[in-house]
Amino acid sequence: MSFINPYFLLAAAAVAGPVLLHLLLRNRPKRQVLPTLRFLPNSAQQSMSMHRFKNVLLLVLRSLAIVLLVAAFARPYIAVAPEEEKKEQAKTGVVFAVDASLSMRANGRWDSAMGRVATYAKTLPDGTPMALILFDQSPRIACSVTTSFADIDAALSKSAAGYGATDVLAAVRAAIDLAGQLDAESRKIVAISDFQATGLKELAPNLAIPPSVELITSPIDEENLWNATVVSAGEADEEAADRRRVRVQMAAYGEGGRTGTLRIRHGGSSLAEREVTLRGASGLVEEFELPLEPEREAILSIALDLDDALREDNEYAALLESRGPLPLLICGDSAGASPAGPERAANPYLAAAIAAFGRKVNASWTRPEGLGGVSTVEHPVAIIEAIESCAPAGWDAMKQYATAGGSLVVFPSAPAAGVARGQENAADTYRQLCGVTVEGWEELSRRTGEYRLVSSRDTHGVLPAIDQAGGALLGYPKVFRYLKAVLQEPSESTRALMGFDDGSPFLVEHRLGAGTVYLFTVPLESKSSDLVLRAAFTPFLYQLVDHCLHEGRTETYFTAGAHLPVEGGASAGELTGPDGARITLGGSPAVLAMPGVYGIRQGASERHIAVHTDGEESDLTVMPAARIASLARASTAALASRGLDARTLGEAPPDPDAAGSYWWYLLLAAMGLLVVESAIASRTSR
Amino acid sequence: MAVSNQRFLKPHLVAQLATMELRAATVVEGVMSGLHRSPFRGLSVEFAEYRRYQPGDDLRKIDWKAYARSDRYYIKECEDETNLDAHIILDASASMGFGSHGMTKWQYGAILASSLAYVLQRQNDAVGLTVLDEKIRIEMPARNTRGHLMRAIGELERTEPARRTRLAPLLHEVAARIKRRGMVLVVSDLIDDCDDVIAALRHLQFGGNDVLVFQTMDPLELRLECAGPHRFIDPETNGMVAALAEDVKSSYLDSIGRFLDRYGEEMGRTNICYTLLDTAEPLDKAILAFLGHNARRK
Repeated sequence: MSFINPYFLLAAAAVAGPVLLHLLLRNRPKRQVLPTLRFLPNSAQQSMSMHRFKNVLLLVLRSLAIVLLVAAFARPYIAVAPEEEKKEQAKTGVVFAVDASLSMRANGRWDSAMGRVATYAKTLPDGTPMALILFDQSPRIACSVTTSFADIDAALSKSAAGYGATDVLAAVRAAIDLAGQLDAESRKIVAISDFQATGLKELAPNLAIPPSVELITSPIDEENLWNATVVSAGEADEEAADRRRVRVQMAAYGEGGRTGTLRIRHGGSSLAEREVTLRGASGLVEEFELPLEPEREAILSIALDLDDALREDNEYAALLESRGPLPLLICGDSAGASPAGPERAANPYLAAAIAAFGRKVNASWTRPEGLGGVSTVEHPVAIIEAIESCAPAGWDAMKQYATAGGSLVVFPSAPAAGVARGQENAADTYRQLCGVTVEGWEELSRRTGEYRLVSSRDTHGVLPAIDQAGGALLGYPKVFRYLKAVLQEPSESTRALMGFDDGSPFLVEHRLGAGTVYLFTVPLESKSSDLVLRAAFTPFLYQLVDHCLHEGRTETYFTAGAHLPVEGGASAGELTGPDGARITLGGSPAVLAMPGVYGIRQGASERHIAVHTDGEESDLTVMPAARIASLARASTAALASRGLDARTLGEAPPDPDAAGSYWWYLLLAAMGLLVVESAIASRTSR
Repeated sequence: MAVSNQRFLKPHLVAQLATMELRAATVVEGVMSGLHRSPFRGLSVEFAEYRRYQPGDDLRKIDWKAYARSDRYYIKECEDETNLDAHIILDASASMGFGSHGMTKWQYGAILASSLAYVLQRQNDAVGLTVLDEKIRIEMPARNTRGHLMRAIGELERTEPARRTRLAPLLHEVAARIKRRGMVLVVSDLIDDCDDVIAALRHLQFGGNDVLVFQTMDPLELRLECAGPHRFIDPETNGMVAALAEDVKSSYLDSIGRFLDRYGEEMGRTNICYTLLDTAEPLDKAILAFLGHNARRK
């Protein structure tokens, strides 16, 4: 029984009133000497007993009347199960809460979880009511209340670990609610998960395990587990106008190998099918040439069928974006910049690169002053080939463009040109637009062979393709003259993405409003560096534009694109990526470019990390079951301190109409008691 | 002594008693002149009769004037006004120590006994005193001196009621000890077996004594005027009964009424002067009412 207004129960203390009055005002027998005692009738003692009985009866009636009145105003109700559910109660009901998040894909955890469910179900007597909840960041009922394990098994068979994050507490709450529907004397929640600690670290204060519900945690560990999945799929490269190359990355975990079939379907038709063999703790990359037009968007269904790992509906959906030309806006007001087209830009290196882009890039031209009115949606990327040669109005327009969400790639003017046009305001422009303070030009002697090398260190993975290619892609360009730029205040908004081997910044990223400004400290000409002369210049510029378009924001800890901090120096260990690629961990951090599960081997130990778009899901740290229980207890206490009853969790909410009918009965009973009390009191006083 | 006697002999009470005579209802033996008639013809001044001389009569009792007139020897006999032996028996059991309105039954009975003793002593009657509870505590023989009276009153002064009652056996014992016929005054609440007490009183009466019984009762005992829950305690047995007074009052009054009526009936039948005294009534009024009743009886 519960109460709608439980605080009214405090008024039950008023029972103390009649009790106190009874004790204080009761007629204690008066001691009276009577020599003629022998003449008292034999029934004298009985009259006294009757007198005491009446007094006690009156006290009980008054107290009971108060209790009934208090109970009436507290509005009691009884959660009554529907008539059709009023069957004989089973002794125990079980709700299985199975983790189906991404981390459960690691090392066959999902298979182990299903095995746990089956093992536990075998211990239950026939007729035990049970239900199944699958959860990642949100719980969902996979199988409602049933007494047949076959239903549970069928629901499990249709499900698989997906790519979601984990919220164990939400799952436990949902399981408590579902447990309330079990027709059983006691209820158990069997939570089967890898119990990632980050998924539990923020315990909701309202979570409380009702006394009638027992939470059983069944942690999944990595021991003897195996699993495999499609980690990612995407377009590998552009080959032809009528075909697209798709690259599918798969990962396997655990011991031993498996052979299965990888199927790619599009629009209801099968595009490709290939038998693949996956080995334990390894990755596999398969490429397919698919007859799809590059200009059209396509959604692929990629399924990896393995007998004992993923199920038939474990499909990976990959989106192939339409590969239209990259929009690029060239800004410059030099005499050579021709309105006739960007390929005729004054900067011959830029013009050559744009020409080399061909159909990949759709370049247009404008003056810097015109940037203020340009739509950042139509022209999300703009290149300023010589910033110091722009007029002040152009600088204001650049700031307006970037603030509105555009990506601005800025090259400084060569020193000779800068002196000619408004260089006195250049310092302020660099500070406000690029977030750096310039300290003039660093001149090195090409004649004597002085130069700086562009290093890929500390690029933070913002440009992973460029960064991974590193010097190989750039060919270690030599720089003989560069603008000495100092970051005003290193922060998330301003950072050096690439630098020289002496630590000076080569490429600076500065967040400005909704957009980003990328500043190269080397002019776009051959006297300052041989960058523009190298063959890698054109793809480098293309990838930079591509990066700007996709806004490669840095994610937090262990998300795709993040760096793996490795301790232990140059021979710290080896990183195995989801695609099976092995990277030796050295002094520089390794980039976790792909989502999936990575294996890290350091000495004799091996551990796994998951990389996901959700940072918490990527943490495979297991929270001890005892810790979960203590959190639940603490939460129960917190709930009680707020005057809430954990036992009511999971019960059906009260029906106000039904509850309202009870209190009238209690009120009538109280009134009846008061009438009886008055009658007895009247007779007693006579 | 005079001061302490004031307790029982209140001046105004004594003054009232001094104007009335207490006469014994029966003729008692006595050697002293007084108001009481003696069954023996002797030397008193009141002429009774002449009878013929019988050999052996005392020659000094021959009335020579009657011989001169009739030439026969006559003996002149007088009704002697003799002294009376009055025995006052006072119950000093624990039940007599009860009083609900300031004066206990013992105090009431002791004043009554003292007053009667005083009156008896004024008319030259010998007064004896017996105080008893479960046994005879005080026993003073009957004498008619004032000093004896004062000692008797002093004994009453020092006595406190206690112990249980053995009234009937002790009355038998007192009856056996009284050698001369006289007056026996019993002051008690008579809370004992009615038949046994009546038998003992008749034993006293059989010795030729004029028996007067004063039953002293407290108003609470007579009317049970109380209400609410009470724990009633018997002072002699320490027995206890818890009861609601109003619930048991009716039944109690019936019982106590039958008890008192029985005494009244039995004593009326055996010519024992029986007086029920309510200790709530004024003491002098009770004594004077008794004397008036005694005078009418005479």
